[in-house]
Amino acid sequence: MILGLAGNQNCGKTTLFNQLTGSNQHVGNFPGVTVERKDGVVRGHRDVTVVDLPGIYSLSPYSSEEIVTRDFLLSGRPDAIINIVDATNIERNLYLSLQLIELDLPMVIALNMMDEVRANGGTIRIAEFQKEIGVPVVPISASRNEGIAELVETVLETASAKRRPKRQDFCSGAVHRTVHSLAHLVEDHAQRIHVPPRFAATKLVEGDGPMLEALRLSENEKDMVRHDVTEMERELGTDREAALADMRYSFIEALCSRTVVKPAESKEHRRSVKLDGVLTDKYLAIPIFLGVMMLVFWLTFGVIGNFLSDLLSGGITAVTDAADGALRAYGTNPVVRSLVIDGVFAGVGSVLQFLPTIVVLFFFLSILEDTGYMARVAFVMDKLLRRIGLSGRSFVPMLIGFGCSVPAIMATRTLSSERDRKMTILLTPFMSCSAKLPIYAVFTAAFFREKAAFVMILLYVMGILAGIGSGFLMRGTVFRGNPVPFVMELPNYRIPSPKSVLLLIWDKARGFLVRAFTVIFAATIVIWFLQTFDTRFNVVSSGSESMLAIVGRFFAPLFAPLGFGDWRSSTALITGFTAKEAVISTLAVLTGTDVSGLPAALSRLFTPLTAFTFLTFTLLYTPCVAAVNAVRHEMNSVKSAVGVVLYQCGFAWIVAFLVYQIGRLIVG
Amino acid sequence: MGPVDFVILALVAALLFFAVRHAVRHRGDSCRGDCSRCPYHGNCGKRTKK
Amino acid sequence: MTLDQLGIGKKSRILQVRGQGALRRRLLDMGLTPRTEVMVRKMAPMGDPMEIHLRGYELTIRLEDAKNIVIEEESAG
Repeated sequence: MILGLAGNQNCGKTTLFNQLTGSNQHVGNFPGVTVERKDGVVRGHRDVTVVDLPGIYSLSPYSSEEIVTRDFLLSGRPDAIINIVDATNIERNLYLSLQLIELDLPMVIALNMMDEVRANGGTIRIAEFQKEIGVPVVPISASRNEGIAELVETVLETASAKRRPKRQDFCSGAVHRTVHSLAHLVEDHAQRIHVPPRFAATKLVEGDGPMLEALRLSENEKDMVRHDVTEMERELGTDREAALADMRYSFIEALCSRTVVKPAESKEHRRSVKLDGVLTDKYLAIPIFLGVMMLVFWLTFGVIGNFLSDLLSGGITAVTDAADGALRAYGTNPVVRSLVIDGVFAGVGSVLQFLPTIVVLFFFLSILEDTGYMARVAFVMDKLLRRIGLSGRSFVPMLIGFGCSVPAIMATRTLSSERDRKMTILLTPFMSCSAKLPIYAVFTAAFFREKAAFVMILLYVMGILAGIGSGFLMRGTVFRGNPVPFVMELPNYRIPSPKSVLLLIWDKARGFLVRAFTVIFAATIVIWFLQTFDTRFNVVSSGSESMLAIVGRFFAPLFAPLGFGDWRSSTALITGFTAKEAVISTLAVLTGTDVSGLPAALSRLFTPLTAFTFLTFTLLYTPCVAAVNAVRHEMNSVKSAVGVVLYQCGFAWIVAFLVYQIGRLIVG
Repeated sequence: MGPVDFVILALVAALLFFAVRHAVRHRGDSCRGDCSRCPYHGNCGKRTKK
Repeated sequence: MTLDQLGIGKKSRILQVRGQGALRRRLLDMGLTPRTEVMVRKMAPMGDPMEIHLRGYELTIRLEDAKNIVIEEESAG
């Protein structure tokens, strides 16, 4: 059995999905976090799958989320729809409900956040409500896990009995007549393409292009449709879309006035407005946002991050030494010992110590999202982003890009404009991802000890500036054209649930560890192998004869004008394509040291200036293969992905070149 | 090379094998563990197309 | 008078929703229909977009898009 879970954004859909399936998903309060479909098996009912559909406000044919939902519900024909409705925002939520009902599928309305309604002194007369709207209504509180069992029971019962909505006609007067006559007119065509005639009719009245196309009416029939709708418009004095929207809202208002008792303003809303009085205040908003971001970065890289990293690295060194001692005691072959100690331990260990920093960063980013603050960020930043031709909504994917480019590139799915999406995808890699942190941290520790935090911030700022610069460039050339309407809800502020934050951290940690022990482990071994043996598979006495050196030397001249033409740095950069953390593990392996010895080894390869140039290059050059693959997937073209790689490498080279040459002039 | 060496080599080889197999199997996983923001996490771990 | 001209804190009622295509549909879908009461909560720090209050929730909308909404201001009291 398949169930479709549909509802507005921010109505607790993801929370409900979690409660139903018990899977670990993050509850994001920012609009547009859940975009693509997710499915899960309902707890306790192994044969029932629920599909989490994108958060939408209507079934218009304009945005990709709406189209995806329509397609799923029309072609997939799930056994039932669970329509989650935010009872504290009931009018707007029901607007979608009415359209879902027109799809003529078994449906149950889950009235969520009833706890908030009650806490504010409101009530809803469920029995009457249910009767009016024609589908079962179950009050729940997803976050409190109340009513879920009853909901599941009702849904399963409705689905197995194939109980269709009792009424689909919420219109009166001219609209009613027109929809009715159109439904008759297109009945055969609609049934042929498995669309309920009434749904087809209302969409035609709304002037839905795709629906008209899909029905394949004859010219004569199209004329009749046009005539009927125009007549209706004339009779009502408004146009078709407004007419239908008006009808729906009229019904909803009437229904609510009869069955819903609400205070004028809920506590949560009042609190939100008060908070926004400060957080989106004309003078305070931006300083506060910058302050918040600075605080997050300071805590992540400075205070907490550093402390935990040092702890972990100390532990890793201890373990490595112990292993080394044990291997020597057993008289193991030196090459084998080298494989284990210099290869595996050194490589993986050097990356592992950054686990705490990354986890802390994601912790803060997710809290900001869960509270609803991120929506305010889009609100505040919209004007700025408009200068490069995007909307405030692009800000969030780019912000996520500071964590990892891969989900950031995927988050661009929320942007319904193809143009916005493409451009955001191309700019996201400039927001330095967290996998580059190990590189920055090691280098700044080695060369800029006291000013470490400052240099890090400088790098991030440079990335942002590079992104903005590229944005201007693109806007003027490749991406000319007008941006899309930016009409977005600002949900009430909510306290993030500790459970979901902890689940998120666990997710992150696990992901990072998996990568460290698979991709990087494999890459480290390969590099160790290439470095230990020459082309005739003899053990080399000096590193510069190994296979790896040959590859590195081939690319080294490319980097000479940037100040780091040593084959080891060029080789490390190449391995950075598999995963950015590999740059550090490779440098460790190639310089023959481990975690603690790396800073010393690096100072033999770089000067402070060339170190900074190197960092600039790593900041801007191609993202890792996972991100490039994400680009290929989202843009649906390998050419675009390759283009991204070339563009970023070229851009990075030019900027690093400038940094180095100008730096030489300054430093002398 | 003593017996201990072979044991270690075998161990590393096995780990390597599993690591590569995991990476290839999960080629389609774009989120690398960050399922919270990932629209594709429903496919996490699923076998890539035969 | 159009919505972008409405002062902060002022209430109004929508008379007409202009515009076309995706934008218009979006405005209507979000509840900005004729006869709906709308209040301007505030402007974004950089002057654009604006935050409005309708049907019990908050919505952000750009000034250039708000120009499409014809309103009549409601006098206080």
